[in-house]
Amino acid sequence: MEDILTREERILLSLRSLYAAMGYRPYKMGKFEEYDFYAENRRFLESGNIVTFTDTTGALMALKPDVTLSIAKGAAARTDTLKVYYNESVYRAPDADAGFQEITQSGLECIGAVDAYAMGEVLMLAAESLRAVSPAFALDVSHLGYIAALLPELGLEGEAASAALRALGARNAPELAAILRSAGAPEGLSRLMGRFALMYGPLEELLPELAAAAVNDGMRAACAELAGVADALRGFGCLGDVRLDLSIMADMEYYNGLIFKGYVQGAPSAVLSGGRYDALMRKFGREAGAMGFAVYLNLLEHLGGERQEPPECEVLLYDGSESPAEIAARAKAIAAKGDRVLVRHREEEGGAKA
Amino acid sequence: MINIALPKGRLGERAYGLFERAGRGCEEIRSPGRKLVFENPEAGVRFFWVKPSDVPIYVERGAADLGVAGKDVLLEHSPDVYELLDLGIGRCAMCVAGPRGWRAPEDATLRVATKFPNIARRHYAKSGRAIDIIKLNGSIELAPILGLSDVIVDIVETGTTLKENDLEVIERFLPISARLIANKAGYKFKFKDISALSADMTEAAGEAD
Repeated sequence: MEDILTREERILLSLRSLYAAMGYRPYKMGKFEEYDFYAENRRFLESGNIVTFTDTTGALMALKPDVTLSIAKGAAARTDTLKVYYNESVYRAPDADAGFQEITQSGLECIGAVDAYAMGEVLMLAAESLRAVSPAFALDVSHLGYIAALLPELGLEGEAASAALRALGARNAPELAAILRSAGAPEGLSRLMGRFALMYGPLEELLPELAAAAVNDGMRAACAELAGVADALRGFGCLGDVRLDLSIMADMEYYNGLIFKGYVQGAPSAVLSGGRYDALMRKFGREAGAMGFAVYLNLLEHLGGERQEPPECEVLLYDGSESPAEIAARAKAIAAKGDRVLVRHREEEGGAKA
Repeated sequence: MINIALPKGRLGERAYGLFERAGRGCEEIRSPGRKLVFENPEAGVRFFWVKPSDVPIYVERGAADLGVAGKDVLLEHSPDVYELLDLGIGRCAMCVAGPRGWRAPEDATLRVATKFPNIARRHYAKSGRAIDIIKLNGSIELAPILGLSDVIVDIVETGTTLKENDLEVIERFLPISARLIANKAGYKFKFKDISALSADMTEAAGEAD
């Protein structure tokens, strides 16, 4: 049975069993939402372009550009902890010149009581999701709280802070240094930022360095949270899979705390993206922890590796001499042996491949 | 093996000089021929020449792990890449230029001819000036002479071309130089090699200054 599944379907299958094994429940949602819902939360979306249409009632609707927003809105009305996974198509224009694309994404959300264990669980599932795609993968984490607490120490706010974050996000150490110089940032901390811009390595190895560099409670709290997550990951046996990358960025209006990206060898951009978004839940009126991630299955299409040849088929030719029942019986007999059968009329024989 | 996209032309040749000084050269790249890809397995590098404005595309899409691109090209296309180094070569400035002595009337839409519509749009958005962007692909200096535009937004190195055409710089608003850029995924999987190369390039660029 497995051999008739495409690569994407096989990955999807393993992701489902992975998430279900940790008690996550499938979540199915509608294809549309009211446009206003996205317009209000436009900055949460990776690309601002949305496909809209007018509903039969005259309401302006949108084809879903994102899944997390809908799940988060639904979870805002509840009080329990929600652990769900999904597989949905979303419609976005990642490149404005190329128009809209249908993007298949699979992912999960954990909303409610999100402590160090829960964050570790989500990260472990992210690591295992990547492993299901390819054994050569990288799961990189950062902590927005750490960076956010560092900015005021550097004397950065407003446009200068945004520019510094952009430079850090691009690992652009020279530009970052120039911004910090003109902001009059303390030299020691500026050097630290320069180091952060180029830093990359196992979370376990770099966490002590991060903790040693913390100069205020916000930074220390972020390190303590990362240490808790690392502990959970150690318990799951996948701490070694997670690396620290402080250049990962996300909109701080919606995201806070842990954020992460996943890469697999052969795909040019991140195939997995996720993070902690309590700030979004607050916008929806619920004080709760929230964390999740999405795997972009469409990005896996062009990954190298085995491309399946269509399997061999036995060709059953018939002509006017047999009755439909006789042809059906012969076809059934071949299929019963476990072989594939392609039934064609003899006149088409020229194009047939046996 | 690190794949490196170099921009065709003078800037690319100077950038290649830095790679050579950083111990990542590739002899055969200098020999004329029809080859498109040049490899030095010992140094772990593979070079190829592409159109300068295509470098960010090769890098963003992962066909190249590293590339050399002018800051002008990066700002125009905003690719999702790491910008590791300022190579300090190809220094020039993005400028607004117009006919000598001419000042734009403030009560009319300013017609701006440029190869860089996004940079020009962002620049004028800061002041809220009403503009009409005319996207051209070359010979920008011709536009104000023929009355196609009021001003141009273009990179200016020495200003000789402007002077010869009776144009002058009105505003110099963005310093430009060549940058070493990296694909985000490639950077993760080849971190050691790319970091080492980047450090050697920093040294080579420092010496070149």
